[in-house]
Amino acid sequence: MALTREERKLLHQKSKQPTFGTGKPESSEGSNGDLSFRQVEGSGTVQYVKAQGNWVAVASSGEMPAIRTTGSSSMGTGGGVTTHSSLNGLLSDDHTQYLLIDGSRAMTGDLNIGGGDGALTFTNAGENSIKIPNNQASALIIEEANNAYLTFVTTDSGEKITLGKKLEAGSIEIEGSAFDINGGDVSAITISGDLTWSSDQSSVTSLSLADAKNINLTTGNIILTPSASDTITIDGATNGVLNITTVDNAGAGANINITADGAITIDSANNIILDTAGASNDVIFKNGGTERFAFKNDSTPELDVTGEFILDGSAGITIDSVGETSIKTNGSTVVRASTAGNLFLHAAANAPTGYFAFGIQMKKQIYHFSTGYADFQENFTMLNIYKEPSSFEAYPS
Amino acid sequence: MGSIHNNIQIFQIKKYIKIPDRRLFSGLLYVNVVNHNDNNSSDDFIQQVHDIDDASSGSVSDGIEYSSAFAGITGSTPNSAQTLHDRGRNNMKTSFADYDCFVFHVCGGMTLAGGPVTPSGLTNAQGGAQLAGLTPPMAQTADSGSTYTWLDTSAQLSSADLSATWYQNRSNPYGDYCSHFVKHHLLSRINNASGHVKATDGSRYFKHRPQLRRKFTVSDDQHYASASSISNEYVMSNGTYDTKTSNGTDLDGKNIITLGTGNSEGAFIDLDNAFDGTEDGNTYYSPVDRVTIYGEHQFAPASHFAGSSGVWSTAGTGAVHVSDYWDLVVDIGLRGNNANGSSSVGTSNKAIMKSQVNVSFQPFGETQAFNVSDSAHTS
Repeated sequence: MALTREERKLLHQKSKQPTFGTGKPESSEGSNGDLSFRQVEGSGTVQYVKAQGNWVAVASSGEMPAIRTTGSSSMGTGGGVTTHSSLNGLLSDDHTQYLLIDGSRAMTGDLNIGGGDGALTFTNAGENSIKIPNNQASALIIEEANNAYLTFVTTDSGEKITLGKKLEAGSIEIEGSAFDINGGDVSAITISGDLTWSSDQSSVTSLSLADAKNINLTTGNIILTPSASDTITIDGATNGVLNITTVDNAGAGANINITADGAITIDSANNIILDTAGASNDVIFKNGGTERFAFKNDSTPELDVTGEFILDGSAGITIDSVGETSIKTNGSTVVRASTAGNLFLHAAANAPTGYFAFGIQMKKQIYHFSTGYADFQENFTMLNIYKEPSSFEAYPS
Repeated sequence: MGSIHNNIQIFQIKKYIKIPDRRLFSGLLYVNVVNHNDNNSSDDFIQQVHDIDDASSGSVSDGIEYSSAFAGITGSTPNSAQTLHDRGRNNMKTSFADYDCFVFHVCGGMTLAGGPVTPSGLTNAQGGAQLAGLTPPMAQTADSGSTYTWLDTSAQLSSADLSATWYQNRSNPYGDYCSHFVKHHLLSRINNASGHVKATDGSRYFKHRPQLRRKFTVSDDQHYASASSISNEYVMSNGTYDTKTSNGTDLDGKNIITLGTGNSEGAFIDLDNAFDGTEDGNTYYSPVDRVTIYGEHQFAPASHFAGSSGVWSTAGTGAVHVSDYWDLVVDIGLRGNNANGSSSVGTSNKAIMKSQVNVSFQPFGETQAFNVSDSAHTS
């Protein structure tokens, strides 16, 4: 007669109850999935599970049996307790091989988690943490095999987290108040807020870009503030205008110095304008620190040259003045071309009123004129001498 | 012949024009001398001397009155002061007319190639021992010949003195073959002073001196192997003074001195006119006595003496002989004063008047290297 549903249920429950006995169960005993606790000599209480027709020792209060064995029968023959809840001392913590859910028993070996989404999940509504030991060079390493991805170093005075792999933050923000990014390569970065260098820049020696890289600003400026309210501003404007503006808040000492270990070329497609002002308004050219050209850039412009000066033109040289043109030597005029086209030499004066100046007029003592080809050849000279007697009788009167 | 008194009182103005050795040139030399414009508000010198000498106030200095320009000479004593003839130009203030202008064609140069002559037949000595051994000795030593000193100066013989050759003959110093070959030809002389005549009333007169013009000629255009004839001209003045226009119209007050008060037609007086009643026109003053032009170079042997004997050398210390340049000397003899005044004829120490001298030299030839100085060049 067939079993009733209640009978089948009871039979099933019975079959799922662990069995107890001594010695290793035989493979012929029990069914797959059955549990059996056995007292095994040398191993203490051993938990067996039948799988695939074999009993497999999965836990032991002592040493695990050396090998898995199969037994002929797993079923105890005695009439022991078959219901776990009927066991005495269920609350006795005498199975130290088990983890306790309250976490009060520390694990003595590695923990392998099968994985899966939420394999390790913290559910506490309050603080949750993973604590790692103090003062350890490798307090915690998250690694694949021995390939560290994230290393927590708790070494005193050297505490840090070391990334072993690229940190991809995506669109999230990394915020902090004392970031110290030292070394490495930031391949690309977008900064939406201010970028401020800390006051401690003692170890900062340069801000470098790799070759052929750019700093791109749109309408912003580069502003240097070497001292309070004293600024250097480099900015661009429409059409690519470049402005470099220096400000000495307390005076006029905001000089611009360009020191090149090579040539400086200013190649303009249009005018080059040097606009000076004030009393010190020279435009000066130096060579090796020695002044050579000084353009007196005021209402009476003057070019002062230090050294032998040669005006060397590859074509004609024309001096065209609206007023008189003069050539001086040591401050004395030696050539003066008047507006009327007369040439006055050696500070010769204009003709007196009512008289005409000659084409060439010369004021010279004794050595007035000489021309010739060479010594012994074709020489013509005009020597004029004026003299009064050194001593003379007074005119009768 | 007119009156001649050759007492010469000259105040020289010399200009030394340094020229390289052996450079031939020729050119014009102008000499213009005029009464100084300081005297422009005064009468011409002749009239002024007369007026002041004749006036109760004022005076003419003895240096002027007894200078050769005005005084005759009796022996070594100037003639006594006499009143200069009145030329009638009082207040005309024509001192500008006291000028004298010369134009010379100057040609030549100087060669210094010959250098000092090495004497022959003269005793010579070289070195301290030989100079000390001359009779009489010229040098002496006090340290057995280590050093020598000159007897006349007690100066130690220099290395130049010791290496030089000294020739003993006081009366025959070194000769020198260097010589100038500068000649000049007076092209023209113009002044307003060529008409002075000794006044018959015994009043003093201005003595005018001519400038020599020499000419060497032959009688016709042939090749002569005989010396040319020399003709000398002694030029007091050249120059024509126009009193008429080219169409024969007389010049008038626009041109020439006008005499009179303006109440009636005055006379127009030219320089040649004897408006003073005598026949001697051109009676202004020439401030120049003579102009000479020559070459000169530095030549001064060193000499030392002992009694009546001496030695000369061109190499000893102090000896000078320049062989690379020379001076063209333009020597303008202005009329000088009589420094002794009325007492005797003395050498001038002043020009007789203040004048302005302009010299223009326009040489053409082998050099354009010149250096003008008031004294002979020494370097």
